Amino acid sequence: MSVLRLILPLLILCLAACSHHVQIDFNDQTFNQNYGTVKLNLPFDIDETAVPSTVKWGEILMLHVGKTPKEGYPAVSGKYLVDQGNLIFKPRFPPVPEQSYTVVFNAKQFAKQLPNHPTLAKLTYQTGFYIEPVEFEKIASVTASLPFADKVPANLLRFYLYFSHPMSLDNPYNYLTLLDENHQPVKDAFVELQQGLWDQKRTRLTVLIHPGRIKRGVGPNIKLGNVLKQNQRYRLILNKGFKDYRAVQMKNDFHKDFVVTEPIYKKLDLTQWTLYLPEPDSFTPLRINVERTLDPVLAHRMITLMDMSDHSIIAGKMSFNGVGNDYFFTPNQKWKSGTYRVQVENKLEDLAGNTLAWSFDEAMPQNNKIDHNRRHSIPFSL
Amino acid sequence: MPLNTHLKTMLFAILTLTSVMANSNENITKNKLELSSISALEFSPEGTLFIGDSIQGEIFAVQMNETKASKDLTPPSIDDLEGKIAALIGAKTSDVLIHDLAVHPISKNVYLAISTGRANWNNRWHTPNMLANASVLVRIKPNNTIEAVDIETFTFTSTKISNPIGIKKQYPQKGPRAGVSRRVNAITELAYKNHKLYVAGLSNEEFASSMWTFSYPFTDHKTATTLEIFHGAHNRNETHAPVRTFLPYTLNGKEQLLAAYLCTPIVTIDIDLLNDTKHVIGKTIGEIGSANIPIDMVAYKHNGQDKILMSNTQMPLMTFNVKDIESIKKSLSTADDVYNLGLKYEAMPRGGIQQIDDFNDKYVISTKRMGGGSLSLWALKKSWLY
Repeated sequence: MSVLRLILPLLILCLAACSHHVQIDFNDQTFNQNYGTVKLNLPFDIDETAVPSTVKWGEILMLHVGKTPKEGYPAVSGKYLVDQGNLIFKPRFPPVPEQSYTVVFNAKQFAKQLPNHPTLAKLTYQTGFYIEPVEFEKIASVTASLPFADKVPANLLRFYLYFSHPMSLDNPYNYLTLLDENHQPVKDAFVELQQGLWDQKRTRLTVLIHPGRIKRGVGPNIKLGNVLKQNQRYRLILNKGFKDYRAVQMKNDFHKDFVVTEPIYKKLDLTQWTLYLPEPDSFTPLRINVERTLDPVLAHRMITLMDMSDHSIIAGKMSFNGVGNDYFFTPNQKWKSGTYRVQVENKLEDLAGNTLAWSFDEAMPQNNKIDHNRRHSIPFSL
Repeated sequence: MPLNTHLKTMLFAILTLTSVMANSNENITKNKLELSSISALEFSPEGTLFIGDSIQGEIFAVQMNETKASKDLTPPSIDDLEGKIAALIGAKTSDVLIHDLAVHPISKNVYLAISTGRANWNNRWHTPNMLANASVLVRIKPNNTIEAVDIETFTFTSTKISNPIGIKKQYPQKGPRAGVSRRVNAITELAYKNHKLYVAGLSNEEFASSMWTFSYPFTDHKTATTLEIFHGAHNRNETHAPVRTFLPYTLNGKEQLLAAYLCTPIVTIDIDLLNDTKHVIGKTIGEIGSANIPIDMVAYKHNGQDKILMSNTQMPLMTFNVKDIESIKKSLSTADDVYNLGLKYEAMPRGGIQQIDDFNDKYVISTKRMGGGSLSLWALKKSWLY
């Protein structure tokens, strides 16, 4: 089913001659990391071992701008690879909206450069496609930001910004500003990693507040002080000039207003957590009340439920409603009577980077004495 | 697995950066060439490509490994250059924007810094770097083939310019450059002579206009000097506008920088002074024209005479006689509301010329906007540039 879902949206183009053997696929799934990739399916597998190192793929498979290739105009630059018998072309630059493209497969060149393969019916195969214009609702925007709360501790370590579309490789910090109460930009607020810190799909940006300014007693903290001052109001702004992967600007500026509360300098303490148990034979979520707000991304990943009858991880969903410090685990299948465990990884963090093992404000333990792989558990029975 | 890797990266980043911040002078060693903006290009005579990256505030010296001398004596010639670059990068012709051009002195390959920001070029105060950050390097071979350079694969060294102008310093909200960060002018032009790289641009100093110098290969020997000039047409001393184009040149036996600014004052700066002076006042030798942005300068000989060729956004392609430059002994210093005084120039009957660079003894290579609107890569014969 999932395979079908993946394949169906691909534009599968039968070639002009309706040859049933040579097929050129173009990936127009904008969210996919293979967006823009051209795949040449031949009636036989390309023998990777028989590909000479001197092969000029650029003379065999070409992606051109326009409805027909124009004499004297180069093909789109990109990389070629043979994967599972198919030739794949990945353009260096993603296709742009409102533009036509043409793919030409030169079978004559293929036969010349890779003679150990069966002969094809035609000398060239050609197909075209068009990238639809970007509709307004398809223009990128920030869909969510974490932490949800409008109150954050003075030693908050990160923000997470979620985007509706994969974003460009542009430096996001050129567009990010943190304004203080007097609407003045806060200098050196972030760790400005050139290309940003992204998830694999490039839809979640982690904005790291300068840890050297958070950690007391460290050079930047002494020299510049904490980025966020207690009891002050701030506004985080992302200018709409920041572009998505298609080089289209965002729909609008994003801003998040928040107030800064007192810093948290203590490790997380599991003894302060309370479980509110569900009834067996129900889908009622297990409510986990935590002493303070956790890093929202890590909380999803580092708190798991184990069924002790077979030591399996229970499939389900962890959610946080943004209010208070309650985390809810809803199982995919009804709870059964039995014994369970809430497992918490040692490296789970609160908003200020404090883990179960270490307070961010403490000196870093020498020689990696922290066991990052350790898991803590809270047993319970239903 | 990917999540795990991501977390490791994050932790690693926090841990590493905490220690890097504590020692902020430490250079971060990179092994892959990653550019944020190709703001300016320049070759050394040995074929090292210098790339000025305004956004990173960094100069990259890239080894291009092109040691075979070209036998072609005539420069490449390409019609619809923007259309062909668009084809190469899968973009629209109307978006393709050339930020700078430089010729490899040995292979004679022509290199272009490219972005897709041209559609917004709608007033005369814009420069390409104000419209977009160039991110693509394109190579044109003497046989007219065009290719995208895989820049990440080259070996390089790099150095930072000290105190580049802040990213958040913007042009006024009301005006043609609203919303543009002045950081795009951190590096406006590079020039290389006698193992020294000169970098013009804007710093965060009170007097923003700056000239940095670096020994090459890069060492600790570097200087940063702020510049001041008298701009006769505005009747005031200026320190905020950056040099737009310049050349190191020996004038009256002394090493000078010949520099041109927006609104086109032409200035000479004594190179000796850059070594040990924090702030230098240039000698204004001429005023060429209002609202004009000078683009490039090339030094050449015509009938045995030393000449300078300069291309412009609003004024015509023009030549200066070096003898005329040398004959001006004193800086302009009095108010004048005309835009043409001091140094004389010859306007060349060559319309639409934008980027220029020296090609060989006989030719200057240029980009030229043609009557139909397309851009050509176009050779200018030196014998015709009187």
